Amino acid sequence: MHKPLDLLQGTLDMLILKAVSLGPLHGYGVLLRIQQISKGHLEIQQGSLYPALYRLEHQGWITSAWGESENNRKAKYYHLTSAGKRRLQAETDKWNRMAGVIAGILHTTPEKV
Amino acid sequence: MTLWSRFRSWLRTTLGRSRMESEMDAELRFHIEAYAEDLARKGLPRPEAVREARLEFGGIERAKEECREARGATFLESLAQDIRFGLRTLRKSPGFTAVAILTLALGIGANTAIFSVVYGVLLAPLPYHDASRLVVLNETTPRVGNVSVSYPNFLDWRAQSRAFSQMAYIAQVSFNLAGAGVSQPENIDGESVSPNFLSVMGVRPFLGRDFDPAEGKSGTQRVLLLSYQLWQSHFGADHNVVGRSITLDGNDFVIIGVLPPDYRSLDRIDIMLPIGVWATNNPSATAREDRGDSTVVGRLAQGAPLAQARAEMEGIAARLAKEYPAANDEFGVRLRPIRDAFVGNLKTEILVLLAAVIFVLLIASANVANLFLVRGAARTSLYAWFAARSGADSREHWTLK
Repeated sequence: MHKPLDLLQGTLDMLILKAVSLGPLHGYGVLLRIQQISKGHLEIQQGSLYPALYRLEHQGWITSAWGESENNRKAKYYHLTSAGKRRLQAETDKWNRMAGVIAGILHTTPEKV
Repeated sequence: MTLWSRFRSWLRTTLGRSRMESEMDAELRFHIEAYAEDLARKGLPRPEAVREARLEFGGIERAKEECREARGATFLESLAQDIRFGLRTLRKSPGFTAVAILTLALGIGANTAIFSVVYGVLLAPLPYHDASRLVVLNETTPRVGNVSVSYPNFLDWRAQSRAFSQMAYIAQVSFNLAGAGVSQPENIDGESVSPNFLSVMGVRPFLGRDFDPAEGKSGTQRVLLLSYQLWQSHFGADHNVVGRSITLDGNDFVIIGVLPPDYRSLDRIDIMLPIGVWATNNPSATAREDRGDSTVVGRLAQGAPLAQARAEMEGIAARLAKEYPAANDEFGVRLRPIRDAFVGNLKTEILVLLAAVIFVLLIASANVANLFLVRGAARTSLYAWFAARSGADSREHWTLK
């Protein structure tokens, strides 16, 4: 198995939005869900997760509310707002275009130039 | 990002700082505990699981600081930090602080004091209706200058003038107040006025009634209005005072009312009587050459400027001088807006004084600025050292002690 990858700069916000778009999550749940979807291939610094959550909330893309966790403890849950939904769509499109362009460049062989 | 959500987040941060702090604590604690539980489920002993969870989370304080920054709290916090630093610096150098505060206090104090005078004298509205149309008149003579107005002359002025819609005579009087209810005889000052005086000024009695026209003729019943202050000090602000009598110079006077609290005459007065009372058995009321202690106030007719009134009054005075040379030879008339009568000749002096204290404040400010400049200059090398050491964008070099 490969060593987990460090996150690319600027992709954490997008991943959080995606994770939250699948259903409300508390901070630890966001971490677990990203690890689960990425099948353990991504390493997220736990300390950097919360500033990102607070930033996204400050920007109005997610909102938070206190609720009960699976084991009946008080936890703060994050939801995607409709502005956040649009933002996630835009980020996803941008990422796909960027990935396509980068992949195209990296697949270039001498014959194609 | 919407401006609204940014504002809401900022507002919540500002208003509920302590709540946000405790929520942030609770959230991070939940994270670490949940993670520790997961680790414990995988077989790690409980205490070790907690330690491991803490370790993997990384610097909690740093994360919190980044969270605060992320929600836009830092501007206010750094402002508060600057203020705290400023206060600390001032406390650390009490001599410097005292000099700066004293300098500013002197400048500001002098300004406040003089401005209060300027406001009271020049700016505060006079307690009369449409005071800009009120004019104070007196007679003049080349030998003495400004003199009082003789009552017969006033009657002719009032009869002949068209530029004034109304005119009233005011004679200064003083009495000895004694008798029932007065523990010690005392001197009180008052004005005897034409019955229309209060309506000329646009003032209504606070209690009771105004004078009626019949009270302008000699031989009328002795009645008076109390000043609000005398009513308060000598009659206990009794609302049933109207109709009671007081004894002035051995004569009984019936109180018919009380003047309003903000009423202001050119002189301080305690009582106001109708001119008929003054005229009773008073030779001054009929002797044209008799000029006691009196003045005249007139209300300019609608559309009549002061200059027109002045021209008209000078014409009338010239005619009266010709008609009654014994009493009026060389006598003229002077008209002043009522504001000028209150200010007297002090207007220029007061404004010069105001300008002077404004300069005092400017000088005080400049002095304090100089003090700071000198202190700043002494620290230049220290600042430079700090800037070089910690990087120019760090806050650190602003908060050296």
